[in-house]
Amino acid sequence: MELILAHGIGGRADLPISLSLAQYGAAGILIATFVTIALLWKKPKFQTSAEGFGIAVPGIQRVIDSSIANVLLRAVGVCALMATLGIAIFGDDKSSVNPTPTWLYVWLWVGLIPASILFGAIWHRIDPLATITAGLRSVYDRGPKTYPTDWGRWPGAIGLAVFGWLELIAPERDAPTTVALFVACYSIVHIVMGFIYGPGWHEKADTFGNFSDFFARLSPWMRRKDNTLVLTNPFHNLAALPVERGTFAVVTVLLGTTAFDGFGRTQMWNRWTGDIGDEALILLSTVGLLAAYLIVAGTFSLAVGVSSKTKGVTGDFAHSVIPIAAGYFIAHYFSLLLFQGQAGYLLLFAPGSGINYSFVSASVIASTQVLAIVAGHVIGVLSAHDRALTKFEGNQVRSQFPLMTVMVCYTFAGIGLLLSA
Amino acid sequence: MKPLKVLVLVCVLLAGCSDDSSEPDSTTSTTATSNSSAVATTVPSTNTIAATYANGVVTTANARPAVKKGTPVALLVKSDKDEELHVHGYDKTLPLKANQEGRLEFTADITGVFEVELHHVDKLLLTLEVKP
Repeated sequence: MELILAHGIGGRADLPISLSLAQYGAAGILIATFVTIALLWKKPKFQTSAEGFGIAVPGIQRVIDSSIANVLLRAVGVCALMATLGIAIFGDDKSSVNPTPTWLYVWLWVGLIPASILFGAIWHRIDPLATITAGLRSVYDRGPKTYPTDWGRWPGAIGLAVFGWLELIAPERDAPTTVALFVACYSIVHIVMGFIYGPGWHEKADTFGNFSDFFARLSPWMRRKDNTLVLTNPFHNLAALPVERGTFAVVTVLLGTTAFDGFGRTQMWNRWTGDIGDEALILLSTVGLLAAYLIVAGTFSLAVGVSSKTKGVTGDFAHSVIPIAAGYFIAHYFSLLLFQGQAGYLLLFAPGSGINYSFVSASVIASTQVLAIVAGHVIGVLSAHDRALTKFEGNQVRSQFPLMTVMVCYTFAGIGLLLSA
Repeated sequence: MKPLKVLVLVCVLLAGCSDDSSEPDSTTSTTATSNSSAVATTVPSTNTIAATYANGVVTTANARPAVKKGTPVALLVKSDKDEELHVHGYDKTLPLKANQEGRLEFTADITGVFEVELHHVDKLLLTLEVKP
């Protein structure tokens, strides 16, 4: 898979990390994992409910929840949607001139991760489609339907998989026309569904909403059921992730997509697919992406199932996959955000200016990549350990081995992907 | 709090070992060659990389030559059809006429991995690594 198509845009990819850095990373992962299992706490520490925990911040909440803030954020969302659609449709048809592919794949998709980790689940405050639907529902007669709870987070998981396919595999994916097509179709689908099923649709089923919600669990910002804004330890935030139908599917897609992205950049993959035709490449890649999902889902469920007291508790551990997925995303996309991200601004306001590649060095990038994966692993392992104390039977140390082994494999794979980029 | 201490300890360990000055371990520093011409370093500091495209086949598609940041690079490319050579990232282009070798020179001042392709036929010529 050619690089230029692998992440939709940009012409530069990160160098492979050095072997010594990979070894340090691997060592750190192993040490942290075994320390966690053997030496750490024996009674669960992290809240599984968002209630009664964290520090309320009424001053900040007054500002964030004010109607001025509401109007401003929603206006920004709607303007961004209109601008993206307009420029994608009527602007130049090359991603080296038109900023909209950068806006979609880098500013929105990649940018939403640090934004959510820093500021919490912000997507719902700006989601222009929810705004439009709310407007329509206030004018037209709406049906009595509400969002079926049975659907849970499944539409989000499917939407994330579709976007993953778009970003990694779709032909001409970095073309402004493709961006226009995707944004238009996505908007129509969600406005129609949101009109029929109400705000619950946007809360649970929006692709970017799910993306932001899940990564926001790594932030210190949390909402109690009565919508009180609290600042809390991110470990509690993670543990309080509600386990709904499709929750595990979402984290599977998050991790699987970025794992396949990394795999598609390896020299091995490029050798295998160098000579096959375009259609064969799309087919093979699609199979690869689905295989990534199945491998993640299969290995994780197996590891949890082997150790747990009752059936069907895989979802209870879904929260521990989020930091690992975040580590993968940061490792793969952080330099893209810093470099290609500039194009989103330069192409509009300073066309002809080149991207500044020199403000971050190769060694800083490499260290950040490994650090992100290791930190993601450590947070994941600590979260899984805590949950296992309530869900696993038998000897506490031994029962956690399968799950910890699987998580070590995920992060070793992550480091391996960085080595062979 | 214990989890925080573990996290900090691991991060500190890693930060302390983070400076990886370039080590030529995982990738090899070879320069790509085409069927007929050998690679030569014509000017002492310029890295010359050659590639050909003929009968729909790129001879160097899996090649990954590596150069040090700051080295002048000369790409010598011959195609049997009219084409456009494109170095991604550096955004350098060179029109190529059928069966005439084109020479594209630039300084490799950005580190990273960059694809070099033939634009019209959308084929990867080689992948250039620029190491610090």
